[in-house]
Amino acid sequence: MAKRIEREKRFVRNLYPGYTPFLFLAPFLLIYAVLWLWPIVFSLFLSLNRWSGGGAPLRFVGLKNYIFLFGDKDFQASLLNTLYFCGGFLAIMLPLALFLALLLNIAFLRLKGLFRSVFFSPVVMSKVVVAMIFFLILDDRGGLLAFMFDKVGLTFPNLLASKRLVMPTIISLSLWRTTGVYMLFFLAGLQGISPEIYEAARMDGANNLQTFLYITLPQLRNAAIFIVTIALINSINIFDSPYLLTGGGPGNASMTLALNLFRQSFTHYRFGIGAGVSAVLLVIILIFTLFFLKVTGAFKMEES
Amino acid sequence: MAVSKRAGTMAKSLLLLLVLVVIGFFILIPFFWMLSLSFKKLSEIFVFPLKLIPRYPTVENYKETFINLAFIRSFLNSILVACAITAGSIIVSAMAGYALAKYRFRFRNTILLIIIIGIMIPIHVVVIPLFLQMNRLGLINSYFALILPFIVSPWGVFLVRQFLVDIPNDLIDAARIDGAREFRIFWSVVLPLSRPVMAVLAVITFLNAWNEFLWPVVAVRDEHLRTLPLYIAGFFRLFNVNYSEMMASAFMATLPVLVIFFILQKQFVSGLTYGSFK
Repeated sequence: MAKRIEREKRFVRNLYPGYTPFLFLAPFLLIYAVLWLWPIVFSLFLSLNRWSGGGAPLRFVGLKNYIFLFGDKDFQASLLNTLYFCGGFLAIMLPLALFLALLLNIAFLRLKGLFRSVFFSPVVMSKVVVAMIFFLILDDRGGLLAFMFDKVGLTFPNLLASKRLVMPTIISLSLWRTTGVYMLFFLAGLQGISPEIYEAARMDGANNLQTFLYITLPQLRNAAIFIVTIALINSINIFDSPYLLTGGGPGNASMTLALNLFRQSFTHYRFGIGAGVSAVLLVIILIFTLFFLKVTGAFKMEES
Repeated sequence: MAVSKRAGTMAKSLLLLLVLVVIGFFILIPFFWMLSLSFKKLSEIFVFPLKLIPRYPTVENYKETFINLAFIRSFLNSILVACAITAGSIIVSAMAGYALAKYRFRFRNTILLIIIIGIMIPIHVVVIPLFLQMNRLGLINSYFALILPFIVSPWGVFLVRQFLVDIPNDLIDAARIDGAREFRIFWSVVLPLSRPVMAVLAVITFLNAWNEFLWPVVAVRDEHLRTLPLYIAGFFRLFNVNYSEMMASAFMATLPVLVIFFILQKQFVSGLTYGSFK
């Protein structure tokens, strides 16, 4: 019986020529190779050259661009600010998103669907629009927050012009826009936990806190790994709000890696150095990705 | 006993509802502020005391926006670019995802691994060489420049693949034994089956395409090719910005995706969480 099935399977497989799957893959592979893979390789090569764009000749300089970068104040600031952004964002987003997900997972609560929609609706907004709105809310003389501060007799600081407060402000914008999405991921994780485990815990007389610490949290491990990885990769690329709101300033207090690479290339026309910055970005992203694939065992997933 | 327990639950849910309402308020206030400013006269927007409801509401800003040719042009550009990206990426992803899910061939796992890593690589990393590449192909400053890089979506391919792996091979094999050609099987058997995953892919791709900012900044110089985010960001560069008109434009740029989001919410949610972790 098993033999017959095996024979039929082979027969079915022989009904199409071997190149068929490649025909289906061709549009994707072709465009992806030309517009993404080749540029990545070329970018690594470009980072070893000095080039000012246009018709200027490429000049091979070895690792000089990287040596320049690691001694460059702007680059150091952009690296630190980007890490500050990632750390600050994750440190607040994770507990907040988990808290919201737990709230929306309570069985007896009404209107959960409505609140869920409201909480993650900001993510449909363009980052440009978000930057605009907050620009007007944060304005230190005529903005909404300044008005509220004024009402209680306080002076509202000009957040975007303060070296100390500019990064927390930019972090808050991202928190407002995206926490809802991560809440959804946590919610999906929570809903994947089988009710029987909770049942068993209740039988054993565990209280709410114990249930949370010893059942909910460990069961959320995969969801949490996924969320951390995605959030890190999204945060590493922070570009739009510093580009629009501060231009990296005051000084270089809100300069980020993505903004730095944009500036080096398209403002100063130092494409080799810009490519060096994107290589640093790429390496950080690859480390996160490989880490993610390793912990989740996604490498094994292909066996099907 | 039963009554007091129910009362306790009631009190608890009221308290929790209150917490949710407060959080919801903080989430929604910027939306309302945008709407409110868009209906205010320019002279009213920075004058204390600020009012959430405009004292002299006006639709003047929307009128100005609707007769502004640059706005109309960028609105149409955004629709064209986002629709083209969505349509293109659905077809390309469906074909590639199908091949990876239902055929066995050499390099399949290698290609799959490249795709999984590709999901994580954002446009920021390739923006310089992509610009140079597009320039060499003579496509910079054209609709193609805006559309082509996003037609290939590793995430889309992966999503389709994950979906199709779960559907039984028998349907495909049956069609094959009946003598259907391979592309015909894809077109009349596989595509109709994958409608749910296509909807998910369409919603999220459209949304991302609509809001993309960095790449259009780099790829497009010509005023006529500006998409909505570029048009709106343009307000920042002006002196004497008309903030009420800016907010009206910002709201008009948000409205289409907001509507899509509320109609197709289910697809959006399942798309974000589908196959991400189990």
